[in-house]
Amino acid sequence: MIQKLKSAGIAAIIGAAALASQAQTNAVQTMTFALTAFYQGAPVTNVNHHITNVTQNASSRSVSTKDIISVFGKATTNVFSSAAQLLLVTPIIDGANGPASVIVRDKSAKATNIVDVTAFFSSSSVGPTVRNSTSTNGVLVSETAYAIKTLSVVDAPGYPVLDGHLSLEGFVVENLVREVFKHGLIAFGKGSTWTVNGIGNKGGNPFVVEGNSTITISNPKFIVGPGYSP
Amino acid sequence: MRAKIIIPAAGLASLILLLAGFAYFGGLTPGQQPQVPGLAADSASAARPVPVQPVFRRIAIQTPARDSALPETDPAVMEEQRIEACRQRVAELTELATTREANSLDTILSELSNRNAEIRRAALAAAVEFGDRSAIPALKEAMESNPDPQEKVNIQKAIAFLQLPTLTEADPGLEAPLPPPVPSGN
Repeated sequence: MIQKLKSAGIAAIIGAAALASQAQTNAVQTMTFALTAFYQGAPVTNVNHHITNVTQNASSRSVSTKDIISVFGKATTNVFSSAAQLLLVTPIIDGANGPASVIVRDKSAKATNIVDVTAFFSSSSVGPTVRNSTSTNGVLVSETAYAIKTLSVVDAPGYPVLDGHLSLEGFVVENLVREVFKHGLIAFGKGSTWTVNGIGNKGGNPFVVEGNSTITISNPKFIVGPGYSP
Repeated sequence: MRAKIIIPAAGLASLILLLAGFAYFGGLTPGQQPQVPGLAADSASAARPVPVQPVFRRIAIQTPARDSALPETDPAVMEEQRIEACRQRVAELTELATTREANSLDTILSELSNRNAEIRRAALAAAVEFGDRSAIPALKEAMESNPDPQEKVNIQKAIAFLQLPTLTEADPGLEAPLPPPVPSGN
């Protein structure tokens, strides 16, 4: 049940994608994180002439895709290289979306390591979605959608507790991407930019995430067949 | 006696002339041109295919070739091609940033001065995702040369982000406690 909820949640990340095709096609998107986290620094005490000064400072750190992949690496006992990517993959079979998944793809010199980390993600829409869209003869030509969405990095059953967690919410702008294939087949997908704030922790230390932090889900690349890259 | 010879001879000559005339004006096979231009030629052209039609066919064959050259000048098609090229470049920059291949950063930074604002924005995002502080001087240079105030702010934010210690570089409060503040002199 939890897994089903998470799958539905991942679908909320990407919005709809569709391809009028008989064969499987994967919509592959790159996820990137650029978050600024503020931690509580350790208190520093200064005693000078019988006056005790205690200073507490907030300390900021960047949270990037690499950091998140590193957290997944610890939980799944993988050591990912700096070339590892976080990909959102939506299989489109017979014109319908299959369940989306999030994978870490690490292309090293010798082999490609692919690890499914879908279970660590949860996402949902909050409230309505507002759209600018144009359709021609019932076919969507262009669309920009605006919504408030949540995205969390959470513990998953069967895996050790994550070394870091995130609970983010923010303004999401989605842009429709259309790709016309041979025989008039049209694929639809959505790239999105999230401007988020929220909370999280790393190594047991809580932090708050600054409001202009961003998550970017690139425009989809439609890969014909079950693979993730051409 | 003379009349018996002259009358049949005249009749035979008339018959020969009649047959010759019929053969000339009425017995032309399709496609044959009359030997003498004039009324006969006009009536023949009205009844037969127009001989210039093959020229039209050639033009009709050439027309698609001209159409295939049209996209170079059709503004709508040119705009579509420009958008597609831009989208492709944005995708390439994203790929370069996430795969972090050698020399990718130079390519990414070179696009900070691209004429297309969308490509500049993608290059900036790619530089942030690449996560290498050696990009900061080039980012500063791009910020100074960019006339757009909003883009200047975005580049400044990118620089600030790259200057931050990363989450995996140091765990705050544990591995890298903040340095003590400078005593105020009290």
